[in-house]
Amino acid sequence: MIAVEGLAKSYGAVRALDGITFTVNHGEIFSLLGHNGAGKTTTIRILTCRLRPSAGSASVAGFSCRTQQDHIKPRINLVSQDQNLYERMSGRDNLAFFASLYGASKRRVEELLRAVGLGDVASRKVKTYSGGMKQRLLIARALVNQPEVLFLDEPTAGLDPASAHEVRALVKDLSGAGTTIFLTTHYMEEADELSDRVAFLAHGRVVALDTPRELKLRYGHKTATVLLQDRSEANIDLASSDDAARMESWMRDGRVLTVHSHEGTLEDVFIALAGRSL
Amino acid sequence: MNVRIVLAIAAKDLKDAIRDGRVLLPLLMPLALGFIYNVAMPDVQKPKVTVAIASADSTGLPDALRAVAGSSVTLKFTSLASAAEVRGQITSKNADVGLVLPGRFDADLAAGSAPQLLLIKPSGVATNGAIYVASALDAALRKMTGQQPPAVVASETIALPRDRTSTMIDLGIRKYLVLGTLIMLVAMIAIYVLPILLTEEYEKKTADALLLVGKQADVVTAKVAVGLVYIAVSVPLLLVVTGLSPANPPLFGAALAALSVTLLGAGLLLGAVVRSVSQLNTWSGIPLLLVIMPVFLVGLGLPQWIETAMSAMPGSPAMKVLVDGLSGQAIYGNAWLSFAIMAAWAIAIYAVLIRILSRREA
Repeated sequence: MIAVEGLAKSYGAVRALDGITFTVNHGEIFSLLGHNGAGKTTTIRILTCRLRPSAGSASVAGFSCRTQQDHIKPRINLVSQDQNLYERMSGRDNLAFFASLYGASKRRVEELLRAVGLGDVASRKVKTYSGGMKQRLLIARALVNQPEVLFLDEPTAGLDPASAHEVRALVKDLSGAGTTIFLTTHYMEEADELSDRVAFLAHGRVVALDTPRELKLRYGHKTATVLLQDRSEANIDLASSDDAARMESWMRDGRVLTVHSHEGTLEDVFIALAGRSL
Repeated sequence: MNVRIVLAIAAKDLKDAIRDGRVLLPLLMPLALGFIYNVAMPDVQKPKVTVAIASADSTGLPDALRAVAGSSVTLKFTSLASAAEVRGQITSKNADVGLVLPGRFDADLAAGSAPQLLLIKPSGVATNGAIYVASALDAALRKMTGQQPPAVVASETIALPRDRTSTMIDLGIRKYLVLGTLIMLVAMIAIYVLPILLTEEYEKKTADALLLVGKQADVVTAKVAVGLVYIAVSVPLLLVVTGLSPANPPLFGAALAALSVTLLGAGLLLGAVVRSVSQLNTWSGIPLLLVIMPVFLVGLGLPQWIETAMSAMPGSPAMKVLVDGLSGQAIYGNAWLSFAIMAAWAIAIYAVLIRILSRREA
């Protein structure tokens, strides 16, 4: 659904993207992770046809981002980190306006308002909405054209846990319905929970790309904490033959109460790759 | 460019303006000013002189006086029965001057018997009307008797540089000020309202959402369309409110169109350069002043170098063509030069604008 090859973008002397390559499959949730300034937003701007790349190629739904923007734009949409809504207008008027831009029906507007739980407050001006309500309205706006590919640029940034949970639930529903999701986020747990595959971007380059589980296995710690009968704890390295022998001995003697394995997190992966956490 | 997108954005902006005082105020202020000028400022008209005349017989003197006056003064005659009534009219200030003619005045005049004509004027400082009629009497009486004047006076008119006083007399203060307000209205829409609409989209990042579906050109065209709608609605409204009717509508309309295109370009340029509405509030005053100030100073009789500098601004040539279009006379003339100055500004402004927008898109 998305194919990127050798994509580069420079702003004067600054190289924001330095030849990145990846593909995103139909219906997949693909996350792009990286520090601020790593090139995530630049990638999204190119893929959403709002920025011309300096080199390389990118295509969405089989159409070139350089030359076939008119074919791509009706098939995509974006939930940006900025809550860029028309604040003097009501929620319904916001959606109706974007529906008119895409040629969507008024019925679609009402369906979406209900789907994101804003049906009862649709007539209120957006400036009276909470951050969570605005984010849900942004998601509704991004769905007005029933996009094949939905870009989510930090969709839960600044939201309280409950609102962030609601947004993540909506993303899962969309993915379940066959929408391809391209996600950027600072929240590693969110990427881990939602993503089918994750790419790490550092200094304009993709430094790792795989499923969260594989990345964690590859780069994460392989340790466990063992609680013994005498209430003492011992950390063991699962890759160490010495620790394996110690563990076998404790098990044989019946001294082991609990074992907590420490599977690596995406944050561990990122620190291993980029040298510092997000 | 996608027409559906352009129309949708324009419709949204027009609807949104009703909720936005920053847009409404610049639209309503010039309309209110125009209305105030219309009520408070009289037109400067031809001098009007009311003459009370008592004549036992019919007389050709009023016609002779009118012939001498030509189009420079409007003479109004009130026929009365007696000298006492004439004096009464002057005392009550219903007449500027009085004439009392004896019976058979015209016949005696023709016979050369020098009939006596009584001129009655107010005491103290006589009105201009009384002075004018008194000075015109000799020429009128000669005309009635068919006498040649002592000398043949030939006159020649030399076109002098325009000055405000003459423009005011030709056009009237009210019309002059309303025309200035009209340009101010167009300038406020183009250089203040339009950049607000554009800058706010970028400042609030709603332009990002618009550019997901449309192009930069769609957004810019929609904003221009909104500006044109505001101008198309508010200018006729101002003309209706002030009762102005151009004597040369094509010239008047062409001047308005040229000015609108030029200033809308300037507004777009301003919107493309500034980053926030607050910056716009700070800086928009400068281009507004550069457009509006020369309009009200055009031909003020200022030193030539100032006059030339003023004439190079887009508002000044527009005012000149609008004056000619409203009056139906070539008060300023040289309409093509005025259009050329506006066209030069438009070309320069749009060239810079296109360069900025293409760089931004890259």
